[in-house]
Order: sequence, then structure tokens, then C-alpha cells
Amino acid sequence: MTHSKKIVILGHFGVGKTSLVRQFVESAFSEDYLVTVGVHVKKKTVEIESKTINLILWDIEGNTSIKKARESYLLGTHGFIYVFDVTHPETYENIANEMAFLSEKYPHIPVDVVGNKADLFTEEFTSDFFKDKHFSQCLFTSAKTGENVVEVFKKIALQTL
Amino acid sequence: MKKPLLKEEFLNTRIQQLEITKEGTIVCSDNVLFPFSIDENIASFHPFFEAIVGTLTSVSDDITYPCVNISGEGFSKILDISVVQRKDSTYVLLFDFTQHYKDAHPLVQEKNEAAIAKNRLAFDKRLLLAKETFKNNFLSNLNHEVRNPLNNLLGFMELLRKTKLSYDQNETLKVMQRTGMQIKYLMDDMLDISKMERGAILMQQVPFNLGHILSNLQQHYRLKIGVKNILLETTIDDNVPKKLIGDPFRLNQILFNLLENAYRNTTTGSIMLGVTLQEKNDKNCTLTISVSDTGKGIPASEIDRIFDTYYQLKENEITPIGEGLGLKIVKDLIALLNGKISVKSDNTGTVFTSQLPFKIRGKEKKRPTVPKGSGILMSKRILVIEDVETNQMLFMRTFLNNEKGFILEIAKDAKHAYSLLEKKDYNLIIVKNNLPDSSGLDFIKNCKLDSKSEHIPIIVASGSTMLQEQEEMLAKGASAFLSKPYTQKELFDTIEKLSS
Repeated sequence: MTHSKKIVILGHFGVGKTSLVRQFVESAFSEDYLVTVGVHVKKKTVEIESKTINLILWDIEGNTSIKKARESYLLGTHGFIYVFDVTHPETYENIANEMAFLSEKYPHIPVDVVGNKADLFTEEFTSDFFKDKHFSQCLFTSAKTGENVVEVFKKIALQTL
Repeated sequence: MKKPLLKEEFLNTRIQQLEITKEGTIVCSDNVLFPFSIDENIASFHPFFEAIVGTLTSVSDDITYPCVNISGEGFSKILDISVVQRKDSTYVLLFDFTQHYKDAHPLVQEKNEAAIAKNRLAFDKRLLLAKETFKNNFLSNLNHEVRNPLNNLLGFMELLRKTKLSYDQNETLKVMQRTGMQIKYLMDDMLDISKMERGAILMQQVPFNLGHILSNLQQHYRLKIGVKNILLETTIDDNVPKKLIGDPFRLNQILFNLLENAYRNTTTGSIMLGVTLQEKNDKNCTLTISVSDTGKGIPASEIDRIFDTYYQLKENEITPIGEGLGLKIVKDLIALLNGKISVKSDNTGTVFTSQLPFKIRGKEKKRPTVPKGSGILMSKRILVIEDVETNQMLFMRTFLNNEKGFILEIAKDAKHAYSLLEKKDYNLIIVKNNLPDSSGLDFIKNCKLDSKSEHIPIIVASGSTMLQEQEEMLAKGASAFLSKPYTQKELFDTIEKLSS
């Protein structure tokens, strides 16, 4: 039996949400930054624990706060991926409030935190830099190299089952 | 009334209406935008619809999804999509706003790119400031670490100079002292730059005589120039007020560095220091101070860099480290004094011209004076709290056979000092920041709480030059702060001033 799961990708603009989705769905990457206006919805089928899951990925426009996201985009979601840019502190400085907002408004929906553009940081620096509890389960990805990209989507898929 | 045909035509080509079941099966569609087949499931058309079909049974309100990018093979549109529930039927309305959203795209792109660039700049600035703070703290700590042994070195050399030495020994010692003093000046310069960058230098507003500063500098440089074929001339216009209020120490530092720079770059000819009046009223004046030389001049390509830290005119020449700091200090000090500086140079020489504001001193009443020779030499008992043996030895040797009548006693820690203070009377205490069993600050606080010691002046002698630390000590009751390295004269003058 095939399950359809809606996953919304959240985060500031310019953190690489579209690039992550593109790398996962099309195995492609571009250095050019093209702003997302509104929402792009893509689909990819994955096999998790012998189950076929259609991941419906809602790549929504970036916002400085989830509160500013259009509410209808978040309706009926099965999982959130919160993406930040490891090289830009303003994209993760407010993460505690963002997580508090999600757990209050969507208490039973899994949220995964993802630090993108990890190729621009050394591994040592990354783990040393993000010591806060909100980053304890954080996966560090690079949409450019593909590092950890599949893992992120498989992880959230598993959590939605 | 006529039917609004144009509007109808417009709406008919931009809005598509579909009726679907709760499972997503298409019941009917006007196919204005996309060709759907009856009985087809809308979920198969695009993943967006696959996601919303899942919500149809659980959501009863009308919902609008604005700006949805729907693209596939041969089509690409940006739609506002409304799901409307009417009685038992579910309708999907597709509003084609492709052109509208495409037109808005460049604006959003530009706005986001600007915001990202702004954030990047702000982050780079933060990073730079953090690095600067680290550098300044490092320099302050290094300075502290060097000052303590340097104080001992200079102190012992000063004592050695007073002993009977052969001519050769005396000359060797002079070189050692000069070298030691060079290190001290370098440390002072580095510290000043670090302080200025941290905004930790406070300018004084005290009375001083401009004539005294200029004549002292002239005397110093005449001696220094010696047999060198250079003429040093100081001119000061008659209308320049001499009795001023400002920061004489910093003014001296500015002029000293400018003269030092001129001296270093001039082999023959002259060095001129001139002071003229630029403007004046009853209370304030602005002076133009120029230092010119007939030296080798500064190449036009390098003139903008001369005020940078560690810039040296001929970088390939082997010159003592730190010689490039002077002009940086001059520039920063002049800015702190609300002044200006400019430089002109060609192959016949260089002229530095600065404008500095001062307050003018009013006429003072003459103070009554006491006839000379009426003073009686009284011995003064001084308690030093010092645990390091070398420092103890330096104190003992410094005070040995002094002609001021100072009697020295040394306590090895705070506990020892408290017991001595209980038993004996002292005229003054010298303490340092960190004692083995207490901080200098706690020691001062305790002394000021005790009726027997509360009146005794306390000097803090320290390698630290942190302004905040000094202020804290003074606020808790210290009478003076003596930064290492200090000379015997500086120490004795401070003691005399406080214990008289």
C-alpha cells in the first residue's frame, strides 16, 4: 500500500530549501539563487521499512519567521523540515522560538532541523558551533554535494509512519 | 442593461471551476485552464492536488492556497487555488495569476538578495569586531605579562647604576637601560593603540603650559640630534595663548611622535615645529601645529597608508619593531581630541599639519607660599604586600638608603599584612592586584572597613593597565594606581604626594 505524506520545508529565504528538494528529487544543483514565490510542490517515492511512501514536498517561500508563512500551506502536513544556513546566524538565531511555535501549533507533527550549506563549514567547527539543544538531532547537509540530503528526507518519512 | 462581455470573457479565460468528490474524483470541469477528464482523479494531475485530496474529508471550511506553482509537461502556471464546500459538493477554483506573480518575482528577488547581502555584511562586521576584541584582550594580557618582569629589569638596572661601576660597565648598563626603555615605549604604544581601538582612553582636561611642553621637547631633541647635521627650530606665534586646559600628556605624545618621525627620516637640513593661532574667543582656541622636515619625503602612492598600524616607510629596511606605530597613535589621538591632521610631502620633505582645540585658562589668583627651609624630615613607614621574592628584593633595594626617610616593611600576603597593621602604624600601603590569599580589591575593601587602617593611603602597583580595573580599585578606596614599569622617582613622588 502506498502512503502519501505531505512534508513542508520551512526556513528563512536563501537557506537552500529549493536546492535541497531539487537535489533530492532531481539529483541536480545550481549555484544561482532564484527566489521562491508562493509554493512549489514536488513528489518523490521512497521505500521505508518495506513501505512505499509518496513524499509530497511543499517547498514554500522563505520567511524570517514561521508565523509569517501562509497558514493554508501548513494545513494537513505530516512532517516539517526546518532548514537553516550554517553560515548565516540570522537564519538560526531564533530557532528556539520557531520550535516552540511549531510544538504549540502542531504538537503531534514531527519536525527535523537541518543545517544546510555544511560544505562551507569544517565538520569540527560545525559540531562545536551548534551546541544548543535544538541542534542536538540536527542533520548537516549540503545540497551542493548531496551530503546527507537523502538521509534527511528518509528520516522525516520514517517519522511520519 | 448591457451585459459586461469583456469582464465575462476575461473571467472565462482566467478562472477554471471543477467539482470533485471527497476522494478527488472529478465530477465536472469547464476546462478553461487545464483539460481534465470526468471520472479522472485530480490527485493524478499534480502532487499539489494529491496533498489537498487528503484534507478534504477532515476540513469543512473554504480554503485558499495562494501562489501555487503548477507545472508539468507543456504547462506552467501560477495559480491561487480555492477549495470551496457547498452543501454536499466540493468545488475547486483555479485562478490564473501567472502574469501577476511573474511580474512581482524580480522585485522579491531583489529584496531577498539585498536582505541576504545586508545580513552577510552585518555578520562579517560582527566577526571582525570579535576578532578585534580578541586581539585587544590578547595585547592587554601580553602587555601585563611583559610589564612585571620589565619593571624588575629596569628597577634593578636603576639600582645598579647607583653603585660603583667601571666606565665600561657603566656604558654597557646605559645600553641595557636604553633597550629596556625601548621595550617599555613599545609596550606603551601597543597598549595605547589597543585602548584607543576599544574606546578605553579618556582624555584629560587639566591646566598646562604649552611653552613648557615645547621647550622640553626642544631640549630633548637638541640632545638627541647632537652632532647630526640637522637644525631643529621651534616657533610659536606671539598671539598663541600658552596657558591652556586640555590633555598635556597626549599633546606631548602627539608632538613627540611627529618629531620622532621627522628625526628618523631626516639626515641633513632642518626639522621645524611651529604653532600658530587659527581661531580664538574668550574661552576656547584652535591651534595649528605643524612639524616639517627636509627628509626624503613620502612617495605619493604610500601617503594614504602612513597612518596605518605598523606601516613603515621602507618596509624592506631593517628597522626596530614598533617604529611604525607612532603615526597611527598620532592620528587616533588627534581624532580623540577632536582635531584634524593632514600631510603633504614631496622629495624635498614632509609637513604634518594638525588643528587642535583647547580651552583657555583664565587668570589665576596667586597661591600663598611657605618660606623654604621650614620643613622637617619625618620618617614614613610604608607597608608593601608582595609575595614574589624578586619583587620583594627590588622593593628592598629601591628603598635602601633612600634620602626621603621612607622605612619599608614587607608582608608576604594579606593575612600577614592585617597582623602587621594591627600592631603598627603605617603612613602608606603598597599592594598589587593578586595576593596569594586575597585579591587586591578585597584587601583594599577590608582596610577601608577597619578603623585603624581606613585612613592609610593605598597605592596599587600593577602590571595591568586595564582602565576598568584601575577605576574599580580607586572606587573601593585605593589612592593611586601605579602602572609597571615605573621608575624609582615615579614611585617616590607618588608616595610623597599621598603621605604628605
